[in-house]
Amino acid sequence: MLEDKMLLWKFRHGSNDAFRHIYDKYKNDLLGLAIALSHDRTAAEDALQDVFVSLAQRADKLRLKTSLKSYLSTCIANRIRDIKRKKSLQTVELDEAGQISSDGDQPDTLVMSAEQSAQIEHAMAQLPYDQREVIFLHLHSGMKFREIAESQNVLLNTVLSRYRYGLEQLRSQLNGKVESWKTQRISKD
Amino acid sequence: MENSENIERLIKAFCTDKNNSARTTEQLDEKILNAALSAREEYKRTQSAQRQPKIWRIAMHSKLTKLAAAAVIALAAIIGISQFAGGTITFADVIKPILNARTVVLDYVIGEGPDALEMHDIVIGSRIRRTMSNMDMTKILDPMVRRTLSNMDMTMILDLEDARMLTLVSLGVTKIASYNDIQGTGLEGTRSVLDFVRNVVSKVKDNPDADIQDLGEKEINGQKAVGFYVKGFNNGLTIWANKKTSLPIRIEITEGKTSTVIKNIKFDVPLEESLVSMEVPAGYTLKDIVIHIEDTAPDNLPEEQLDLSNATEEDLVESLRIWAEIILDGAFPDAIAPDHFMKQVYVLGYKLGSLGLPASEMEQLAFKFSKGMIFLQELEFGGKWGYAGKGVKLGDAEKVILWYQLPGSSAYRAIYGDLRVAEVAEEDLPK
Repeated sequence: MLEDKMLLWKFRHGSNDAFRHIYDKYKNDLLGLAIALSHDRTAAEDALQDVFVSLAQRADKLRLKTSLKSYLSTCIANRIRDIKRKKSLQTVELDEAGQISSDGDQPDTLVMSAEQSAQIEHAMAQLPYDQREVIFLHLHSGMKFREIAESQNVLLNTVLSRYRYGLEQLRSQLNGKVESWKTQRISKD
Repeated sequence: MENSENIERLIKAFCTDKNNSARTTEQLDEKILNAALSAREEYKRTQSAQRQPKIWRIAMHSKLTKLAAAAVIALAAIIGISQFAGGTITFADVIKPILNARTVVLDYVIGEGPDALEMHDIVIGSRIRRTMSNMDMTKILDPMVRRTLSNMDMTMILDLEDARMLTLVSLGVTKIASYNDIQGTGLEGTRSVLDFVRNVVSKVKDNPDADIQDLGEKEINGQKAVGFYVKGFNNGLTIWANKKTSLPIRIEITEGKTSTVIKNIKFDVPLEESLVSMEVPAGYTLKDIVIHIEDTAPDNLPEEQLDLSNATEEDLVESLRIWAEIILDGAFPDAIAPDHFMKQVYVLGYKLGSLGLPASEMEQLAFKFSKGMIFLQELEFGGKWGYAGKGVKLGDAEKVILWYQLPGSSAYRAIYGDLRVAEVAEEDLPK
């Protein structure tokens, strides 16, 4: 966190290298989060650009209360929410989700099989966006529930409920499927 | 049925796999970085164009420490109030340490002459430890007051990242600490003079039209130095750097009628982080002192909390009255540049306290005193003013002590020793 603060401080004082460092450090995590939330690579890239443009413009006024990663993850989530709102999409059509999951990915780097990944993606796509967002911010970006609550301006209990209901739904949808999966990495975990 | 833990592990694995596959491309990186850094430049240009003299609204709830803290903020605001127009960079090596050093130790002198106020900054990252010395006590007639003020020490720890200031005041056995919120426009005003220089240099280095003059060489404190002068709107910056190391050894800023010299500069020296700790040290009592600055001040300020915005001629007159009546026992000051004001705030605070005035009345007077100075400072932007009160006694109806001309106005206004105000012809102004 201190390193990030120093990078921001240097950027404010004119170091573009510091900004590039921040970008390189978080770009892939944030892009992954944006894709996971939007199921749309193009929208995810747009969100990534919007967030870093905004960071560059607002760096002078930014007062970090959490880690920079949490802050940027929240920005991504908010941006994707805006994009989805504009498109008036509550959930992504399943065909689209399936198609996008393979778009731009590199299958040979996946530990999970494409089928497993698609099934989870399918299950995630069924969740209301609020629940999906909390699950990804917590499990993907490592944000604490309290941080999520503060960033979304909702009660901690609301966040916990969304998380719990989301997991319940996923469990219900994936019931029985997991046992049949023999993904080595999961069994090691 | 899967349990929640399994589902969580599954989703984490899914996220990891998704992350592994979510990679930006070089083209995307280039596109985003170009867009972001261009936006940054545009933002800086816009901010620069829109920047106006800072308007302050400070609400306070205490006595001496508050006055001192407010004075520091006000002074910093006055010093950093304007900006430079820009330049080419033939002095890149000289400005490099200014821009990049993480720790800097420096002294800066505000004003001129042997009694000029000295501030001492230890800068570590975004925190500053600031002390002051050479407070002018010669005008204080009461020896007890003079002795007491001479024994007062004040240290400020500024955390620019979190926009907070810890003020530590030690007066004999009394040790008081206070936290102040310095968010909003106040934050910029409380930055170090080094930041001010950095801002100027940053603007200059990317501006091919900047007016930079090579001053040649001279010897400073036994070192051969090369100098550069950067001219801006209403101000100028001179940097003298060691000829061998390129490290700046003396920086001079002229800002309206105020001059500041930065000296004894050391870059990237090892320093203990504890020097800029925001924790209240042992032996200090924490007092509730609040300073709001315009951006963050609540809308419903109580009436007795004064607004420092929209300063007027009447405020200037009140400021001069307080200066003569309370601080200098019937005489007008020799000069009224910001450094003089800064020094007198301490004296005013102590004198008001010794008069036994109610706290609310003290605050009102302190604000009136500050507001007049804000009016003068705003005249630096396109207006004119001059001071001729040295040696004049309060009540002297014949002598003009201060004159000014508002920006865009052809009329001159003069304030006389009896504090009446009248329009005067240019030829009747004090020389």
